[in-house]
Order: sequence, then structure tokens, then C-alpha cells
Amino acid sequence: MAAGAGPGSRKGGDYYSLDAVLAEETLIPCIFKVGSRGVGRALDPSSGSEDVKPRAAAELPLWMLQPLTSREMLSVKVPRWYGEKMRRKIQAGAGVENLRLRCPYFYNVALALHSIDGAPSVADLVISTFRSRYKEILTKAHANESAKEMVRIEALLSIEEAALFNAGRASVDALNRWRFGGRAVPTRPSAKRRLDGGSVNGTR
Amino acid sequence: MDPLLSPYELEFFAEDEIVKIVPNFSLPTFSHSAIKCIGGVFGPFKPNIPVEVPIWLAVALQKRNNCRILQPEWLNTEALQDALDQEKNTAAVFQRLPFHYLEISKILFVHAKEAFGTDLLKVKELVGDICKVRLSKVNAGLQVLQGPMTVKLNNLSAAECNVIRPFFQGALDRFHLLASMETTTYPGNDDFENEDLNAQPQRHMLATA
Repeated sequence: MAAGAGPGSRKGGDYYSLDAVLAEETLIPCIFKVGSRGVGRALDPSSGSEDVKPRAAAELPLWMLQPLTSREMLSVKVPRWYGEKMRRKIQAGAGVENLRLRCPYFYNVALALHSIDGAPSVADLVISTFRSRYKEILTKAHANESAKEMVRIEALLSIEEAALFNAGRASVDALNRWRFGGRAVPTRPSAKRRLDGGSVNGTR
Repeated sequence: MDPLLSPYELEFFAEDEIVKIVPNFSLPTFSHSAIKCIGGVFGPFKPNIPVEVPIWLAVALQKRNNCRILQPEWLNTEALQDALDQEKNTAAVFQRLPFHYLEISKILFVHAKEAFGTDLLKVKELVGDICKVRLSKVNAGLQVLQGPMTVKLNNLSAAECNVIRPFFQGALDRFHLLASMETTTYPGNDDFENEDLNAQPQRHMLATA
């Protein structure tokens, strides 16, 4: 699987991408504008009746939204992970937020929502999220962090970010394996002191 | 499908770089004491006269004890110490080193130990330090990326390009994808957008039918 999304992924992923399929399973809160008969239990097994009443709230998978909104049957609400609370959290510190927990396909879902007519757009939030998370945690893929730190970071990442992060780590690992012949990266305390010293400011 | 070249493949490419050797044999004069290869004519090979050949040939001759590989000019303690100091002092620029400097030095450290004499460990250490400083500079450079934009990276070596490629490309792709959400409101892009949506196969329409 490629690290980034390819050119065909404008609608949240291309046809053969497993991630695109999984991203479309994300449940999005919606409100029915019109009632529909006989689908109540299919949409929500705990529903009381077989029919869906007008103005009923339900969570529908992403792939159902486009056909239904284009027929004016639904209005889409902003999912809570793009909500006002999340916006404040991202502003406070995007790097500590656990996106995997909120929405594993944080970015692809936003892209898909954006392409649906009538769905609320969360472009600005998602772009600023990626921008600050890229700077704060994704670029650590190339840094020489401990394995423990790497595991901690990876648990916070959404699936798209994790693909990027792991691609970066794999290339650094490949270089180190080649340079040091499969052994762990040798550490030389003397060199470490020298590099951390005051004479080399600007290199870190 | 992996677009990444492995460092071993880069090492193979680096074997085409030129080094100086001192042969201790001579080739017959009717061929001008030279070897004709697909990649060019190398020679003349005369005892004790330095000649420039690709690394693969130098290593092959060295293995038969037919030559002595000379230390390249950039690969001695003074030049490397210079490069390291420059590298540390100028945060914005990379020093001009051979494109395959890591690969060449690795090959020579294995096959031409004698060329370095007592400096071998020191040179090894310097190359390692230079690589470390440059990689941390690359990393600092990557952190300033804030959107889909062009980035200028002069004098980056093959191995360093290869290290940043998957991450850098993926990040730029992602920035581009996200930025396209903002730009779709421009009227000029509308036609393109609609075409694109129509071109998508309607997978889930089939699944629900």
C-alpha cells in the first residue's frame, strides 16, 4: 500500500484501496428529512419500529450519504470528531490528540464528506490538524527516537498518518541496516557529547 | 510495487563512480594497454602509473592483487573534517559531496582498507558524523513543510534522497489532497471535479441494489 493517497483518491480513496472501503464504513450522524418504510431495523437493530419517521436521527455509513442526500432525503450533521470541542483540542495541541480513537480515517472521511453536496465541510479544521500534526509528530518518523516513543506516537495516529509514518521509518531502517550490516545502530558516547555540544548549534 | 530503491541497489549504482588506482601489471600495447568495456575504455594500465577506473573494476583488480586503490581526494581526514565543520556551520546548505558518497566510502572501507592506512577509523567516524549531521538537517528541513509547495534540496546525496522519498512524497500528496478541498470552490475547477466524480466506479450502488 502506498504511503500517500494516489491521484485517483479524490473521493476518499480509489476503487481497489482497502482503506477507502473501510473508511466508507464510518458512521455519520444524519437526520432523515422524509420517512422511509421497512428499513428501521436494518439501519439500527435496536430500533423500535420497522419504519423510519421524518426528522429521525440515525447514524448511517458514509457510502449511503451521497445517494440519499442527492435525493434530498437526508441532512448530514457534523460528526463529533470534527466538532467544536475537537476544534478547541486541536488548537490547544494537535500532537497529543488520539485520532485513531476518534476516527481512524480522519482525513479520508473529511475528504469524502467534502465531496457530498449538502454535507458540512470541515476542510479548514482538517487541514490545520494535518499541518500541526505533521510538524509535531509525523516528522519524528525520521528522528532517532526510542522504540517505546515510536509505539506511543503510532498509537495516536490515524490510519492515513500511520501509513506515512511507517513509510518514513522503514526507509530510515533500511539505510541503517545497510550501513551497519544488520546490527543495531552503534552508539558512541563520545560522538554524542560532541554533537550535543554548543559548537554545533543550528544542526539540530 | 515498492517505488523505493533499496540501499543495496544504490550501492550497485555507486560502483560506476570513478576512482584512481595504481596497477602493478601492464596490458599488451597493441590494445593501447586499455580495456574496452560497454561503459567506456579504461586504461592505459602500466605498472605504477595511476589510472582512473570505475569502482567495480578497481575492486575486481584489487581482489586479484593487481592494483592498489588510492584514497579519493574528498575522502581523507582533512577534507572530511572541513566538510563536517562547514556542514555544521551552515544550517541552510548542504556541502558538495559526491552523489554516492556514503556508498563509495562503504565499498572502499571494505575493499581498500590499505588506502586509508592508520586513518581508517578516523575517516569512518567522520563519514558517519557527516551523514548524521546531514540527516538531522534534512529532518529539520522537512519540519518547515506547511502545505503543497516546492522544496529546493541542492547537493542531497542518493542515500539521503532515498531515505526521505517515501515520507516526503506521501506528506506532499496528503497536503495536496487536503488543499484540494479548499480550492474546489473556485469556479475554474468545477468541470474537472465533476468529470472526476463521474469517472469513479459506483461500487456501493451495486452493493446495495
